[in-house]
Amino acid sequence: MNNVSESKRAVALPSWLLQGVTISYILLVVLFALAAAINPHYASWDNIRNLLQIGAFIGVIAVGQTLVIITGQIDLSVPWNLTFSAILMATLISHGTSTPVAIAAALASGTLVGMFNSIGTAIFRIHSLVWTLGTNALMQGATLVYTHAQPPKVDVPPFIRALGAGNLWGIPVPLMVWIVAAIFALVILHQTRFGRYLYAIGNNESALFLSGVDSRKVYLGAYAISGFCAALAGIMLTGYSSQTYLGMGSDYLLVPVAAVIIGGTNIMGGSGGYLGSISGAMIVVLLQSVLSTVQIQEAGKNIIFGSIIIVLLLLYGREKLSTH
Amino acid sequence: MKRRDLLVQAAGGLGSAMLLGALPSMAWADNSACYKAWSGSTKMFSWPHTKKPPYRIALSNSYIGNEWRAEMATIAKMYANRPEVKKLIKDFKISSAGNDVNAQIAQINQMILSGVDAIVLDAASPTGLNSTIERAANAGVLVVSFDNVVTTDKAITINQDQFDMGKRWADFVIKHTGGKGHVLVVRGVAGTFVDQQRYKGGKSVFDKHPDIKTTEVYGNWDNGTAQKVTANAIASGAKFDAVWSEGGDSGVVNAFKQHGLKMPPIAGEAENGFRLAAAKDGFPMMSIGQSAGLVALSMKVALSVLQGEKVPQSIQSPLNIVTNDNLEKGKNYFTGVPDSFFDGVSVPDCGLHFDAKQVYHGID
Repeated sequence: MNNVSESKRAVALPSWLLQGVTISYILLVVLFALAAAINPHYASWDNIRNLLQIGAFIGVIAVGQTLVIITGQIDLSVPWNLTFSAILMATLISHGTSTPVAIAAALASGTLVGMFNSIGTAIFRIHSLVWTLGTNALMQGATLVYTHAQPPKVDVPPFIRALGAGNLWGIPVPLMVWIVAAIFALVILHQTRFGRYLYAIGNNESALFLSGVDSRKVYLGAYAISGFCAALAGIMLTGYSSQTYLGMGSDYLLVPVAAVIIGGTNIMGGSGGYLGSISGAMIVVLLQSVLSTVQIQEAGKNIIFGSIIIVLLLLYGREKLSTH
Repeated sequence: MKRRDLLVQAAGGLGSAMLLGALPSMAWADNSACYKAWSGSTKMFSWPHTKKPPYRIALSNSYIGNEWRAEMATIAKMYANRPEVKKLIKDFKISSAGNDVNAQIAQINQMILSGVDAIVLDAASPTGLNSTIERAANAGVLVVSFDNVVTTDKAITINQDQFDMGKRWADFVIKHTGGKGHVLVVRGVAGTFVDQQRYKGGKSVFDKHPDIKTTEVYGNWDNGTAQKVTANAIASGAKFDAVWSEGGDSGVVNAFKQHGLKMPPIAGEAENGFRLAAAKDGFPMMSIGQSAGLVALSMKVALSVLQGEKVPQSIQSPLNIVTNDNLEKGKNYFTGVPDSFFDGVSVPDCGLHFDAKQVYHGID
């Protein structure tokens, strides 16, 4: 727990950070208990494994999204960055490129798109909400031109299928990928100087600049990691459904953002962390799963999902006011 | 083969294939088997602005970001390049406006101004374009609307019966479950006309069978989403005896596979991955899909009407039903295309056949 006390000093909003995370974990437990009360099968390992497997896709994207949101920005280029990377990989494989090279190319492509995103924020000072949404449209166009709007015919190699849908010793491989990504995120945020700069930039960019830190490099790093994570999720999703297709990323525009916010990271930046995003991702997946199988109208599901996010934002918002 | 079908059909009406060579435009004369009225109350459509070929035709498309639309656009180009069509067309252009009604209105206005003779339309909204279409009709521009059709009778509409599609899937489910059991219902995108019609069709059958229990999920017609919601439904403990699915069916198949379950009978859309899986694993299946070849039928109708033929204002194109019995490699499923490819590329009743691989690879 030494780690937490260190981050306290770095973040300077410790009580609120802990509160947000605590609230999200309590909510996760309560929701899970409710779901299990309605349908006992929810507590089965089969179901939990399914949730963790699907949660891994959101969780991996949320690594990058958490970093970007802590800086006070947002990455809305995930859907088509993810799709482009996955289709690039599939195309290379269909032309006979080896799996590791194709995966590396996908990750490189995602990272480059992330770096492109940082240009908007760091140099042109255009709000990321607009710039990254523009990047998303750009990548959609690029994907359609590159593929003639037809994804490649490809036999997804076993290694990639394992990344998205495999099990090792009864544990889903995507969950393992997620755990590695989570450790990476926690270390970055709480054990490195770069992590402290991310929080600092979200709190007060001018102060960081005056203390001699090049904020452009901090943005570059955050967006590059977010792009990398989007591509990684694209690779995993290719494995999950054994194919690439144009709508792959459509679920991942706002859902990872919701996971990060539900996990207690401040949408305005400066506070929060990945520990909360983990529970946020699981809450989102649990809600989606319960709501998708409970027999209520789709409109009702949307209302419930939206209401929970709004209530949480209100809760967190109050917490922040009281600490000031 | 394709040519011959067309010729045989035309020859049936003319009695002599010899005549065809002499009077090429007569190939368009007999299309009664193909231009079927939607219902008994459908009025005939006659176009006052007939003229001699060649014509300027435009395809106004809305959304472009999915495989079906890409296939549709390619088929339009392939059809426009066929010799018997090419000589009737002076100019053929495709524009896509995205799912934005105002952009499509602007696009259609542009087409009217540029003096096209007919617009073939896949609309972004069933009602939002109506006044623009009326303006086009007044300006002497014929509008033929297909797939996402418009509601105005100033345009000819061409579609397949989505309600009937849902009904036939449900009939299949009843046949294979004996009218009792738990059915997974995978719907499309909530709030769309197609989803509502298909669902109502399915429900009209299920409601007659009290021993059928259904669990509804929304798969958004998308393989990944359909796979996730099916996995959720399975993991939450339900045992399904059959699946009724509007789309994303190779995702549905994947979800059952990943849970190590025996594949239940599945009624679904026309994705290649779904038919391929059924051919390989042999589970009972029925596959019906909206044909991307509807665009070619729409162009054919436009060319007929411009030449003076009277057609029903609302034309119904029959469903092409594929089951285990008539599943045939190279004919209704393919090995050289991805799982997400929609196999419905032809309109057999109108002799409109297209090569799937060419549709997949596209032409420039």
